[in-house]
Amino acid sequence: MSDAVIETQNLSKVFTNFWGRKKHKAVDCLNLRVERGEVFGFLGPNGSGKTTTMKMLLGLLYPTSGAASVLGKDPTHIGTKERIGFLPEESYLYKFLTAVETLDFYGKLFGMPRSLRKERAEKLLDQVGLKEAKNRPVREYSKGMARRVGLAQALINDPEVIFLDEPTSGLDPIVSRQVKDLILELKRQGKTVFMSSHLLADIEDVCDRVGIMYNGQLRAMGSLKEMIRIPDKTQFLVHGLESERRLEVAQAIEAAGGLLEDITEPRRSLEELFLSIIGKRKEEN
Amino acid sequence: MKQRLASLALGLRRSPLGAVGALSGLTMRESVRKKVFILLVVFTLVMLGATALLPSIRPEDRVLLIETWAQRAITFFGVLIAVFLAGVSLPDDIEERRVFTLLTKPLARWQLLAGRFAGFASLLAVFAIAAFAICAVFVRIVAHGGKGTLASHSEIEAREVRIEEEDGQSKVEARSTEADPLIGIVAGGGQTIAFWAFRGVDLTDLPETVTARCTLEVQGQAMMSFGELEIFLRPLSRDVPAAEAAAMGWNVRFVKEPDPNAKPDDPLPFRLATRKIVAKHMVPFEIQFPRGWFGETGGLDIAVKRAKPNLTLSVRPKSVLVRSSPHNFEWNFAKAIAFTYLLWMVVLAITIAGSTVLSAPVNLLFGLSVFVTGSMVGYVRESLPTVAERIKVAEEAAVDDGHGHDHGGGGDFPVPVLRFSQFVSKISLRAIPDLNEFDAATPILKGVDIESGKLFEGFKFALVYVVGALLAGLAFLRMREFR
Repeated sequence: MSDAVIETQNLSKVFTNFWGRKKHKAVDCLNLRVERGEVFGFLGPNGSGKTTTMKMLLGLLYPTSGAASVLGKDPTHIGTKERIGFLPEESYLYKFLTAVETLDFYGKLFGMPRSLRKERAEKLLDQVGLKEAKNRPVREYSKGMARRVGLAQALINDPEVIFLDEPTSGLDPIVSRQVKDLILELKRQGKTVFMSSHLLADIEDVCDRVGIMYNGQLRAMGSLKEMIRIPDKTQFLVHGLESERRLEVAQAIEAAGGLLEDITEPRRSLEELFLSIIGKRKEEN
Repeated sequence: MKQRLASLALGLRRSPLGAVGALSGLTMRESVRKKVFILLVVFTLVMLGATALLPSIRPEDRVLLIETWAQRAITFFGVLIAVFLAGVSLPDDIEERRVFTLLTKPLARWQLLAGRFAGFASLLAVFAIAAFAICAVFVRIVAHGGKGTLASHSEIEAREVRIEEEDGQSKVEARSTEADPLIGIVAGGGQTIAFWAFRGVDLTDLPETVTARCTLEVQGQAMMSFGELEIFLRPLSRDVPAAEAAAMGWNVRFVKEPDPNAKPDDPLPFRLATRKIVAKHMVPFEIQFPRGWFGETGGLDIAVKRAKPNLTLSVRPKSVLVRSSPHNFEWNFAKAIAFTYLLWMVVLAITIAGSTVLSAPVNLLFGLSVFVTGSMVGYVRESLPTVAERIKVAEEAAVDDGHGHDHGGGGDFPVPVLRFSQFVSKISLRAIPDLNEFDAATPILKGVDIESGKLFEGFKFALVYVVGALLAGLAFLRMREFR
């Protein structure tokens, strides 16, 4: 049985000017449904309405028409906010606080007892790789480090639903990989993740389903695997085939009625190459 | 299921005030980290150091000047904190988008507003306590040599001292010299009254129970240096609190008609309070009576008559002085700081309310404008009767003229302009808090007690504006969207 965690019905948002005149329709009749435990990627070019939608789902913006619900309740409901986490596009933090103090402050907003706050902060800072720098003021952090504190604060309450706006933006490939691994770990724990990103490779790496927005409207939505699959093409990945035997394979394919378009050697992604080089250096050290 | 239970447990633990406390604590921590406290202490020390430059007349006056200077400076600096720190805190959270993170936590918008208000109110409370402690120690140890209780009072001299002969049998020997401004010496067998006329006394200078200090030269028979005197209070006003005076031991009488031959400035003693007292030669004694006996105009005669005609009484201008009750410096200064704190709360609440809709620089101007206009709104109140009088005169002139037209009876301005001015003034008086309600510098400078009742009135006045401003701010914040 499906269990919708995020749902919108004809959700629309029109921005008006000071005099109430219509200025821009940012979201137009959006119908969206995200099931429990899935990682949903929200895609679209700049100005397509992704962030506006996310802000309506977080209760930061009010819909002009239509409705949105998160965990079955209105997004502005305090009870909803106790069960969600949010990482904004940039980590907007209090620069005079350290990472530990930041997490402690946000933990207090959830009414968490001191011992639980301490325990969660230690665990999350370890998870995002900031254990060594946890007592330094956030103003001394690099953009990537601040981003990781932002991610940790989004998880301080062990949320059921996590909204991530450009989660890997500004991160180096190693941390970016760690963040993606963390997202997959959250999925394994049964959490629901709603993320938007411009980095399509990131979406491809972690998302189960995606929605593509353009000009305020949802243009496509579905399982990522299904959507990117080319139905009338087949790819073989063969190990140990000698080059002089390739012709035989090509002839066999044509004999079976297929049209061979190309025979190439597969390539690793640049990210995989980078991580393997850095990983080796780390092991040597 | 486990997660739901954990979440439920968190929800149960969460108190609405917990989030307010967390935000309030954050504000305090920010102030500590940004060295605001160090700045406050340095400011207080510099301010007190600067009192070395204050002119010194008498030690008591010097103490009053230091108190006033410190109180005014503390007030101004607190207002700067309320406007410049509190006024930008919420706009900064919004402009730097920290509000995205805050409001996606279980933090209601009223908690955001209340948390910020409570944080700065706590900061100002700490500043008020620290400033009070530093100033109190400074005044007691440095300015007063650390000796005795710092008590202060003001003395009001009579505008005129006269001797009235009632029956012509008394003998008044006057021998005023430049060195000794003696009014006269009353001797002989008849009845003669010496009176000290107090006129135009500002009632705000006085406590509810007024003390008059009398030092008289009394010479009885056989070189006895004491004698029985009858003291009179002759008010100018009809409406004086007779029962309260009677409760203080005064014999209150009702005088039917005023003297038709009295001069216009003479008192109209519809009430007369008397009491007998034994006075020792040149030994000060005090009489006490309700402040209300000064009436609205601040006019009262304090008169002295010999109970037995065999006394000789020397009358000098300063023989009778009205003075405020001596008060404890620390307690009075603490009340002054409490008044100041109430003023800060009003400015703080209005500034924070403004910050829900205004950008940081605009809100700073708004906060300062509230302080400046609130400090000056008293002048508007004072001008209202004048404007009403001018309108009345202009309208009467128009009716007398028979045309029903205005011929400039309103002076330089036509009546519609005056009416519009009156309307705007009345609206302003309702909208802008009169910060003179929290004026503690004037009583300190005059050396009079700040009444606890007035402090309570100030609290009620401040409460209305603080609650009103925060509710308005909340209404704006609830409507606001964060793009």
